[in-house]
Amino acid sequence: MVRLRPLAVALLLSGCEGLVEPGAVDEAGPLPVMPGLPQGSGGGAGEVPVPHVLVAEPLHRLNRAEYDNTVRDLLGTSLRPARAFPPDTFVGGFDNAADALTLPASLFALYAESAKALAESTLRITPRFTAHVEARAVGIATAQPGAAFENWGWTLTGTFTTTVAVPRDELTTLTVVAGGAHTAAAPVPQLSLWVDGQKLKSFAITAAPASPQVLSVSVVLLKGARKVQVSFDNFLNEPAMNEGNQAVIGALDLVSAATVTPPGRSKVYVCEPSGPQDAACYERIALTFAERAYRHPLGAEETKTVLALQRTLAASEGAPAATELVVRAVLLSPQFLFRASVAGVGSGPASDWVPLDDFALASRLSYFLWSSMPDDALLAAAGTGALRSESGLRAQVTRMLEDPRSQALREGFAAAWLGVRALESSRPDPTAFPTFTEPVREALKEETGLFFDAVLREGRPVTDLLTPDFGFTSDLLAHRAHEPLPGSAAMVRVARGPSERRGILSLGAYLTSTSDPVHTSPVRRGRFVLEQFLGFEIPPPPPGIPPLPTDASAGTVRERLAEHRKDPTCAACHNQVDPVGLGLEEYDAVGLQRATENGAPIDTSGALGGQRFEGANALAALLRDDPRFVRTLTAKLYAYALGRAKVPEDTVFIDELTRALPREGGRLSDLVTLIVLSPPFRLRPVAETSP
Amino acid sequence: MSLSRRRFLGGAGALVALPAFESLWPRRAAAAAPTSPDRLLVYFLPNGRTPATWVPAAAGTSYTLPLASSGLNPFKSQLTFMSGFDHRAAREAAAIADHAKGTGPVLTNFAFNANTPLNNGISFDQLLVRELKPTTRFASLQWGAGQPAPCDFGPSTCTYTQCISWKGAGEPLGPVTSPLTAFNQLFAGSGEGATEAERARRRGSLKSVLDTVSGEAKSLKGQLSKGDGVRLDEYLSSVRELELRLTTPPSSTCTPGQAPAASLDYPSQVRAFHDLMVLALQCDLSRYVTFMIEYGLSGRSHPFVQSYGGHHALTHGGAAVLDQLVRLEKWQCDMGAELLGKLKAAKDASGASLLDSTAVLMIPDMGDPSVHDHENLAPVLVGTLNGKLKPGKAVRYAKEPLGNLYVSLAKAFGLTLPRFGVDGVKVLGELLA
Repeated sequence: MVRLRPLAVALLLSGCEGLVEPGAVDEAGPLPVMPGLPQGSGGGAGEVPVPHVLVAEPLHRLNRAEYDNTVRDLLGTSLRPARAFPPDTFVGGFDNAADALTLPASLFALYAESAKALAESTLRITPRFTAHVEARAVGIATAQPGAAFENWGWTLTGTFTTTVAVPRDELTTLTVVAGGAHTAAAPVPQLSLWVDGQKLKSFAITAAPASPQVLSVSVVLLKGARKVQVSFDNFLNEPAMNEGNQAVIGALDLVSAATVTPPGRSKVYVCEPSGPQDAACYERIALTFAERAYRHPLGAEETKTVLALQRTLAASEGAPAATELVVRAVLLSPQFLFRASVAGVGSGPASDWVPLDDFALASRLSYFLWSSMPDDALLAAAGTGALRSESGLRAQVTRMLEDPRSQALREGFAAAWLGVRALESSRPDPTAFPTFTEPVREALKEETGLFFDAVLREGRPVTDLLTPDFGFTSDLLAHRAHEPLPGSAAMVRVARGPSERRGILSLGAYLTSTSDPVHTSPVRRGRFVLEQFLGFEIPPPPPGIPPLPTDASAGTVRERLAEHRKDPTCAACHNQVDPVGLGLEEYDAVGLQRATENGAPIDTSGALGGQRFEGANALAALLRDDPRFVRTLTAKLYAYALGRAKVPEDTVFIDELTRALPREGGRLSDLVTLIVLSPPFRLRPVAETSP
Repeated sequence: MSLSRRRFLGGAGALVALPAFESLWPRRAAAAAPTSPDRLLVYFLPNGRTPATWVPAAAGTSYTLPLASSGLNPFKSQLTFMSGFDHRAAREAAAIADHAKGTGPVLTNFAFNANTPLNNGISFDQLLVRELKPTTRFASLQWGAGQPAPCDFGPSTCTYTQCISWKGAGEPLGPVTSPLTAFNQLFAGSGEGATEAERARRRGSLKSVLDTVSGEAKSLKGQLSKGDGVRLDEYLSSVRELELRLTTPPSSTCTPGQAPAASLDYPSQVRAFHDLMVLALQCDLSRYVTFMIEYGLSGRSHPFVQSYGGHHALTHGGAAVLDQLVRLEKWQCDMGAELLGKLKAAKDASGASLLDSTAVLMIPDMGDPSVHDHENLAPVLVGTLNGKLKPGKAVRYAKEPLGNLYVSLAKAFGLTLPRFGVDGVKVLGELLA
């Protein structure tokens, strides 16, 4: 059964040859002047060499994070509807690549549900207090399910009692759905509503259970636990006489007279209509909302379309309901669901480059830094043409990185790059690693996020990603690692010396997510380092893989892998990959430092290409001095910024950005700025549109 | 209102003990369609199957199911246990690793090149949709109980390990993995408004909403490149599907029961999907359903059957963990058998058992997972598809093109396919009645 296909082996060998080659970063040659900035801008115009070819941004559906953040900023909602959407596909390491953001019918149906929930929850003024009790769900000894009656109620034979928590004194309407029946000689059933032992009102039950009646009474309920009862006052059961009566109750509802207005309503209701006939105000609401949701001023055609819909719906449903439906329509519109919708097409040489539309650029910027829509300040800058100048763009980047919304880069970029997403599905063996609990998993995610955020937003050099003098921990993480407790349940910053665990190579999230449930995987760790930090693409293993023994009697993981590499088929790649990961063996399968494995002292000798090293901090130093690290980071951030997988035309720009970084200051935030200033981010090619 | 007290209480107790979903039973069965439609349910099994404990040693009508597939014993007379299919599309798929190669084309039989983003062909279930044009509320459904995980080597591998249904190139149909979302999907828009008049008016309003956004997409399309036009075509087709659903409200004979909980442990998640699948078929909400018990390359651990290692790691763990792997494979098959039991017990509007009108295809992504064998797939076909299939035996093929299985199934569904995918050219007569 174990067969090796010649083709696969050939691919494998050629695929791994690159691993021994040093990275191809061209240190020679001057950085071309940033091309294409219009007159009066800070960048100046320059001649561009032929190989610079721009590729247009493809039509880009909002991914899950972008959708949730956008509706948060648009409607002030705390709903996170995208949690119910299927996960977006990762391409090139990120889940914001346009090619993979498809829109199947099942997702569109979820968008429709979400739009409805968002419109209703944002626009509807709701009671301040409500409670809903299904009689069946409570159940009492003296009742039995009245399923015969359309499956909605309980048949009462005594008193139904439930307790409702009332958050403050409220004038409240109590309603009970009820139905009844009686034999000829038995009395019409009578039910009474009680609160805290006080009878409020009695009702004759004349409706059949199949078409029940609603009992209703208003009362001031005092704050606290209130006992609400429904009594059956004249229950008669004489089987011998074949005489009796019956009452069935369904849901009990409590609704306060006082209301609350959702915070997002004022974002939509930019004017308060004087009444349903105030068409001018309702139309202004519709147009303003569409303009904000579309993230650009409405064109004449768009205005016409929105107005036509508002008028049609107002005629049939009334203006307030029409507003809700228009909000739903806008949230389903391609102008909302796709970003930068008219952003230029095809690809083209420098002579055919033009600036991106101001508002498309504003969206590109906000979705890069915030994973959300532009705010008013950014839209205003787009409106005045301020984004066409280098200084204008720099000012926005600085402002936007200071804004807390830039934490979106943690989730969208850093979590994907640094293995946090994969941590979700890691299942370390609970017997071998009892300290790996769900709170630990959450803390490890936070550790990575906080660390990346600190380097980005404190203006730290990119090299601080590898060799910083600080890290983050909490009592939980420190206790688990047998380190001194920082005295904080929340994550706090601590100093880290050159020999202590520090930097991205020491982060628990990727160390755990690249391990197997019971032991470390130097193979996966090595692959992670080579791919994520040095930009290699490791080819897939060939079919017919001999199993790697998992039991400890087969020796340490290092010994087992050495055995594996004796197979020449495996050796081609594993001789390159394994030694990188083996140098990280000081960390166990859940990222804890250790001195021994199976009783033997840990061997942390590793090798990167031809360079030998001992342990994670030594590898970090090698990476810090390796130009491929910054280039790889640049390439990844660039692909994330543009929201598409890297194509060959991008290489020249990525090389230029890499070379420009030291001159700009070498900070991670500088890299963000440089990418924003680069032609692929700001400009677009001119090409023909489809017929 | 007067009535006999005895009848009154006797009726009251009648529905009490039934599980939640049983209340969704079509209430006016006799008034509905007199014949059962043909249905397809694909039950995908990730990470291959260990042949020694999966494939029966003997062929023919007298055979024994080994340990991992023994859960299918109650259905022996209703199934065909096949082995020896050559998954050529998997072998020839390019620029991607083995689990993506096995899973991505398992229903498309298309040898894709992963260097072209989202390259693939149409999957068998979507072919049925395209050719048979169902008028059910959902043309097809894609569900799964997978958890996001690493996705193998190569470009866009998650799409290939996580999607088995494809409308075609660039249009993977990823499964919904939350039973609650799937439940809401089934019953969403079942009517806004308290009265039928209000609901009718609201349907009209929502049609205006959808017509408006379609119009916007069409005018946008004129301003974009061809590639982006494809994305807008997809948008337009999705809007049309929703519009169709609005204009064909769910049958009044089928009402939702209790929604599944938002958070479920894994076996409960799988079982909740089983109930929803039965419901979707029973209420004729859809006729073509694909389900992935886990994504391809599943790394899930199954401690509840004393199988602790990640699934994929176990397949390469050798003899030391073979017992854990077999317990896991047995559990997945047992779950499939549970679903078959529910299908058998459930009756559709015509009064026939769902298992009689359905072709259930339980199919793994590869043969022996320890060597990523793509040349010995062993799927199981259960049910008679309204008498068009001839079950009750084990069939051992030798490198039979997998495409021929789909050409044969197509025949059973009344379609003549000259070719399907990379190698499907002929009908396997022994499968058909």
